[in-house]
Amino acid sequence: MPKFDKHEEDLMRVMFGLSDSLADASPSEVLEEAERSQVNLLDEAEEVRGILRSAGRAYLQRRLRESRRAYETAAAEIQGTKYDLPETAAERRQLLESTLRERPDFEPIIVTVQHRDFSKLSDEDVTSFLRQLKALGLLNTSASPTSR
Amino acid sequence: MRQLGGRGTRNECATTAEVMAAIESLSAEEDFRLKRFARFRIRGLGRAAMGRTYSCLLAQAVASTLQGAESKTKGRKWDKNRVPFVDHLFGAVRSISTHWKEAYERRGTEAERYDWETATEDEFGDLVRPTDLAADPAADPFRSCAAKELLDALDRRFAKDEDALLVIEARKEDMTIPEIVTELEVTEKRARAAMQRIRYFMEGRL
Repeated sequence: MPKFDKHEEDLMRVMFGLSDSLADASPSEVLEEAERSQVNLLDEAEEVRGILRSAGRAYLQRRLRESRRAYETAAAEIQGTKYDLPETAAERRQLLESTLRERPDFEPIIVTVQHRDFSKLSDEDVTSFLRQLKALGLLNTSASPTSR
Repeated sequence: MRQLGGRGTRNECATTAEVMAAIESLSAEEDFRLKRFARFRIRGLGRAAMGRTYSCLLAQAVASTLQGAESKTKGRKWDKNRVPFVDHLFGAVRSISTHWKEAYERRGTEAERYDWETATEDEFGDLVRPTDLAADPAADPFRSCAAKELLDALDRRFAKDEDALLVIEARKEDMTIPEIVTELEVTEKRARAAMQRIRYFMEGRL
């Protein structure tokens, strides 16, 4: 295992001590040091702000990509799975309507801003909602074999 | 030390939006202080920094804080009601650099395992292969000489500054300012002033 020798250890402790003393220093002390070092405080601040800002954005963008990937995987799984839904569009609509009658608490999930008028839902939307309810284990249907 | 909430203030972990807003609200003096703080840590790490710079250290502190804002178990949580953001970042940088040092000291067996067994992703999603960071377990004479030269330079520069010399020697023994005050009978004001002189001398050598 790599070990530090005495000089390296000594220097590390001195440097860590200096960093801690800086954290505890008063703002006026820090400003005085910046002035003595002829540092342009605004340039330095902009540089640091840029590092922190881009680190934050990079992290959030990565999380967004991960969420999108997870959503796409889940959506593809639902699309790829065969569910025993009724054969005809009318039966499927009837099933969704009866489910909503039994479980009105599901309504906010389905009746969104996009789909305010339930009667205007396309069969594709109805099937999609049924598949999602089924995937979530929230739909009880007869086990009759279907193609959907 | 800056204080926010006192007794009775409830703990509340900041959200990601609050962390991002806090970055923008740091003052120029705090940004400057953070940079120098991180540079001292990197200089102290020496070869354990593995080529990483102060900006890597600051970036990791932010990523870890955002992770803490989203996760119950991962990352570092910023208790926004109790700790000023800049102090939270000092703590994160301190802890990450200590972790880097310890991780470096544990190294040496990376080459004995396959990459696919040990590769992980960091907070930014970049693949980290332990063999990329493999350390030579042998002592590094160059680093050791460089460390000795800098320590000698400090001794020479402060040969006539008793307080500064005392503080340097005390730090080599890992003593804190309160310990220096108690055990070496130097007033806190003198100890801090000596630290400031040493910091100023070191500024051009980081």
